[in-house]
Amino acid sequence: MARKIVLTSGKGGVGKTTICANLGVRLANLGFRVVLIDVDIGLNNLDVVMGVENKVLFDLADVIKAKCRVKQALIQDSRYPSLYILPSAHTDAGERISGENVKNVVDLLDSNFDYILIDCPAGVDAGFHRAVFSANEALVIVTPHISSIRDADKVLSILSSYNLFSTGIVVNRVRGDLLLSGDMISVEKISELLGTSIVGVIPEDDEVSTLSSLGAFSLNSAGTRAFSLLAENVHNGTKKVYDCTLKYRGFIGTLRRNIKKRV
Amino acid sequence: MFTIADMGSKRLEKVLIKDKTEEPKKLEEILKSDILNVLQDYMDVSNLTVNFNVSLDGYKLCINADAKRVKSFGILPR
Repeated sequence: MARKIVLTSGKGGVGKTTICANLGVRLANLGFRVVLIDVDIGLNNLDVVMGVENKVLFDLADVIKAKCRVKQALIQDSRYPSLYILPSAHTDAGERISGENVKNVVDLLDSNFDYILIDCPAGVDAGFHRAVFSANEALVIVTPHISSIRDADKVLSILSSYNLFSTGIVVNRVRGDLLLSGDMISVEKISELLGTSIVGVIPEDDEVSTLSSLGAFSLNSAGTRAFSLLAENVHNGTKKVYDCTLKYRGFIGTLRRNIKKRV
Repeated sequence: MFTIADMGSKRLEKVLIKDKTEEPKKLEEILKSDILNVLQDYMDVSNLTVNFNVSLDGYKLCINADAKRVKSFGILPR
């Protein structure tokens, strides 16, 4: 039976899709069979981030409308053979798709995969409930900004109405230099304010955003090491947190921090 | 000395508490009627107040009930 994890946030633009794609890649890299489902109907981007936008023949809406079988809509990643993507509809077919429809598709995939990662749309309206309905675990993506944390708090309170097996936070776009200078709310404080444990910390990393524009993934940058730790934590239930300040400690680190500040 | 992160955290705490304070008003009414139903099986309740105290740790529910008498059990014939 697959673990069904929804990646949600409330606020848009915090990196749900990027984290969904990267977590999927790391889990597939660990040898697990993973499928990424884009439930962001009408505003789908998972196919672009994964670099498979030209391979889309059928999508989630086609499966639900019985225009094709679920296996026909799945796209196998050429770099990671155990990673599959189920893209979402380009058109706004959202109103006709219910949470139960999505759950039926998820149930069809259940026995063939170890992980089903569901990319949730922003907001807390019908699209959110459609995505959360079929999941049994949730990762709430948050950035260290007040608006994002406030929305995450609201999402966590809605998620508590669902009988989810576990809920955790992933703090994205953390800047080690700002943490050290006291200009950014710390990860520990975010966890304390939201009353939920941290599953992963992802640093602000130019390479991650650059490569995501190309639909590619690196296995060596700071961001990717953080994604590997996230995948490890998700799989093993550990709480190893990536230290974003490491790069800015010591003599060279302080120098790097000062140069960055001036630039 | 306060850092920007400290000031941000304080501001965020206030925002989150304010958001949480807005939630329980409806819940208070619903809870009040449910609790009253339960209590009235055991005592003649004359006054009932239900209050939520909100902090960052969560909610603290304070129930205050005044009753004139407790109902007797086991005296009514079957």
